Formats: sequence, structure tokens, C-alpha cells
Amino acid sequence: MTGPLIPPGPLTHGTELNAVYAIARIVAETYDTEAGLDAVFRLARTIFIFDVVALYLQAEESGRLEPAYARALGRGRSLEADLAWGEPAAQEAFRSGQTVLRQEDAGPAVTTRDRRRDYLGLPMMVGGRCVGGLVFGRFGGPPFPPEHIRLAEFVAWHVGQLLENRRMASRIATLEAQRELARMQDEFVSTVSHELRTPLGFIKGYVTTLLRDDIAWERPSQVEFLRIIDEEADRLRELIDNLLDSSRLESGSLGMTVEPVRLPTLVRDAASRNQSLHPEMPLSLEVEEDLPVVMLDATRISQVLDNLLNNADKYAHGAPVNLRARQIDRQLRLEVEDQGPGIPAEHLPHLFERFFRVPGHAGVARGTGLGLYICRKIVEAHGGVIGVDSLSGSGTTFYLELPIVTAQPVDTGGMA
Amino acid sequence: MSQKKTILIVDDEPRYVRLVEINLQTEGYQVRTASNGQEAVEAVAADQPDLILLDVMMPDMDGPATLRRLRELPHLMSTPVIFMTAKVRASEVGEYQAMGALGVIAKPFDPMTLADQIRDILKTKHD
Repeated sequence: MTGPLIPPGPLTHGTELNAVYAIARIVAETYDTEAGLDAVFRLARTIFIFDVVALYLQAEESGRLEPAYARALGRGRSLEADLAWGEPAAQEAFRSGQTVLRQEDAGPAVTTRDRRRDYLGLPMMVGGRCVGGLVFGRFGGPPFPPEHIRLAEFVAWHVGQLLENRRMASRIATLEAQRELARMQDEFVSTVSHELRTPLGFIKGYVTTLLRDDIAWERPSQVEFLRIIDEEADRLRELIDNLLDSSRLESGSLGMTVEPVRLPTLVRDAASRNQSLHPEMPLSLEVEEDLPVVMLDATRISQVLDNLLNNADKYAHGAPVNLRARQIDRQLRLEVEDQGPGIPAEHLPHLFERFFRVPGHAGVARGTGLGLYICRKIVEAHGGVIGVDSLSGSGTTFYLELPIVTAQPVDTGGMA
Repeated sequence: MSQKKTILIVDDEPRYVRLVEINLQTEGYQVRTASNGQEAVEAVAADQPDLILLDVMMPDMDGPATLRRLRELPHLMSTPVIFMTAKVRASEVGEYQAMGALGVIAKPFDPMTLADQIRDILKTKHD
């Protein structure tokens, strides 16, 4: 049983015809349900009189009717505007699938003729299913005449179409979101599997080569192959560490241990550690010695500096690199500046995104696209920002700005 | 004793080039290397190899583009070219062959059998 939800018969009145036409157009053209309902009910009020209108829809979890929309357009406006009225009529229409008329008495508290209330309940059909009830209320009579009931049924049918539009739009949005998520997951899996396979392929290839029983490799060849295996195994371990860090970051479970840190010491340690890893890197150091002791996770900030210095060696190999630490107002600023080839401007906004790699670098240096993403997350966890300035052809500067968080009131020092 | 056959390896990954090189040198091949398509075109200008092993995915000029450039050179019109790639679905292999490749060797390759794989592909050409 679908209820008497049939558009009304031929209309002769010019105003009615215009309103009916306008309602049909709104329903066909709008995907903004709230605005569409406002417009439909405003137009409906030009063809039959009502004071309040409320739409009740069945809640998915509870199965109960919940008010979804309510407007007071006539006398209800001065009383309790936009409250949901006439729920019993909505319930009855929803349960029966039929148009219902109810008369209620607002009680002796209402002394005017508004005490008498007529509610017209209509079942709300969406996609052939009854999903709720629409109620028009009229205060102080007269009751709804049959021709108004027919018009109300016409309006209800169009409101159902509006809801159907919304249902379709949200279904499309859900499907698109699912597709995008699936695409990103596919890309993630293929990037990660490629990045895992590459070092693994080298390890396997050079080990198998060493094991060839038809060849007795000279010692220098053996050392060459073993060194490659050693480096590729490191690379694999680093990749797995990065993947774990990155998934902990995504789930918010990357632990930070904040403690008072002397930044000049941390920066000098990072410089000497990276200098010994890359003995040929022309690295110089500029550190303000009177930087305040700050609260931060020394291991994680060192990890950021290691990553930036390693990148400088990788992408600006042989070019001078400058590591700086200074205070600017209430911020600490750390910079890793290289005089390498620079980064094309179009790539700069994406550098800190997960899995982003500057195109065309595959042959020059390998990477996962995780390093700078992890750096950004670590710096953000400290309430700071990480950024990059680069001009193609004239070097790159990565900087981090950390708010100065002191363990105790700053020692003004030097006051004898 | 016949002269050593020369193989040109073109790949942008130096460790891959080296792995192919050492495993073919031990089989008695003369090996030359190029790290991109442009270097490959320059390498064949002076000296014609007997076989070219060509990586598919390379920045700037990829494998297929390099193959087209090489085929424009009169003395390389019929030099056998084998693609090396991780993408070895039947449809992909068909595409490489339509471009003029003699065959495809899957990455990663087995160092023990690389030379046999190459000989097998060369043999099908003459059958």
C-alpha cells in the first residue's frame, strides 16, 4: 500500500499553477535539502494555509521517528518558532501509509482561538518506501478542506523527491570517497611493495651472485658485493622503521619524550654524527650559544636534523651545506641550507606529503617519500612548523621553527 | 676463437647495471653500460653492440623512447634489443614485442640463469 500520494488533478487557478510549477522545478534542480524544503514550503503557503510544518524521519539506529525539519510560518511563529509540532499525526501517517487528519486541543493555557489545532499528517515516501511523516498544522481553524489536502499530498510527494535527491547525492559521495580511499590504498601498497622489493632484490641478486658455484670471486669483488648487500640491508631497515613511525603517526601513537634540552649541544651532535656518515659533505655550522634550554624530544628532533642533512647529501651531493640554529623572537629556528640544484617551485607545496617524491629523482637517489612527512609530524607535535625555501638552480633551505617552551622561568643570567 | 660478443646495458639504477655486468662478464661477454637513453644513443654511435639490454622505466627518455631513437640509426635497425622490466604480464610483453623488442627479461633476474635466458631469447629469433 503506497497511500494516496497522487499529484492533484488539473489546476485552473493561475497562482496555484505557478506555485506547483515552481515547486516541481525546485525539486528537480536543488540538492541542498534544507534550502529546497524552505523554498517548497514557502511556495506551498501561497496555495494553501498552514501555520507550522514539520518533517519526521525514521532514525536508522532506533527505528523511531525523529524531527528532521520544522518551520513556523504563520501563527506558530509568535509561539514557539521552528519547534517540531504534530508528532502524533506524523506517527499515524507513517504507520498507516495514509493521509490523516487530527484535531488537538492545546489546553486552557492557550486562551486565544489558537487553542484549536488541526494537523494534516502525510506519509513520506522515498524510493517506494515509507520513511517518515510530514505534518502541516493550522492553528485556530478552519479545518483543512479536501482541496487543500490534495495540494498537501502533492507537496508531500515532491518533498519525498527532494529527500530522494539527497539520498542519491550522499550515496554518490560515499561511493566516491570509497573509490578514492581504495585508490590511495592501492597506491600505498604498490609504492611500499616497490620500495621493499628494490633493496630486497639487490640483496638477493648480489648474494646469489656471490654463491655462484661456477665462479671463484676475487676478494675485491666479494667486498664490493658485500658492501652493497650491507647498504641495502640498512636501507631496508630504515624503510621499515619509517613505515612503522609513519603508521604510528597516523594512529597517533608515536610516543614523544619531552625533556629539557640544550639545543647547541643537540645541533653540534647532529653535525658531527652526519659528518662522519658523509665524510665528504662540506658541512659548516652556525649556532648561537646563548639559546635557552627548551622542552623537546631530543631523539625526535635529532631524527629530523638527520633526515634533512641526509637529504642535503643525497640531493645536493658535493654542494656546501650549512646547519644553523638561532633565536628569532620567541621561536627557535633551525635551518639546513644547501647550495645544490634546488627544487622546482611546483613541487614545493607537496614535499611534506606522505609518499610524495620529486619526479625524476628515481635515478639520482632512492627514497620512500616518508622522511619529510615524518619530519613534519614530529615538528608539528612540538607545536612548531617545518618549511622549505628553494629556487631551482640556487639551493634549498629547510627550516623548522619551534616555540620556546622552557622548563622553568627563563634564567635572565649575567645579573651579578 | 671467435671475437667476444658485446652487450650494452641501459639502466638508470647503477647497482642493477653492475649486477647484470658482473654476471655477463663471467660468461665471456664484453659489457658496456649506459645510465640513460641519451648515453645509450651516444654509446652506439662509435661502436655497434651485438645486443642491447634496455630498462623500461627511466626518467626523461624511457625504454620504448630510447628504442625508437636507436632504431632511427641505420646501423641499429636490426640489432636485437631485450627489455628488462618488472612488468611482465602477457599483454605488456606483447606491447614490448610490437615496439620491436626481441624479448623481455623479468626484474629481478636470476644471476645463475641470466646468460641462459638471453641465449634462449636470441635462439628464438633464429628459429
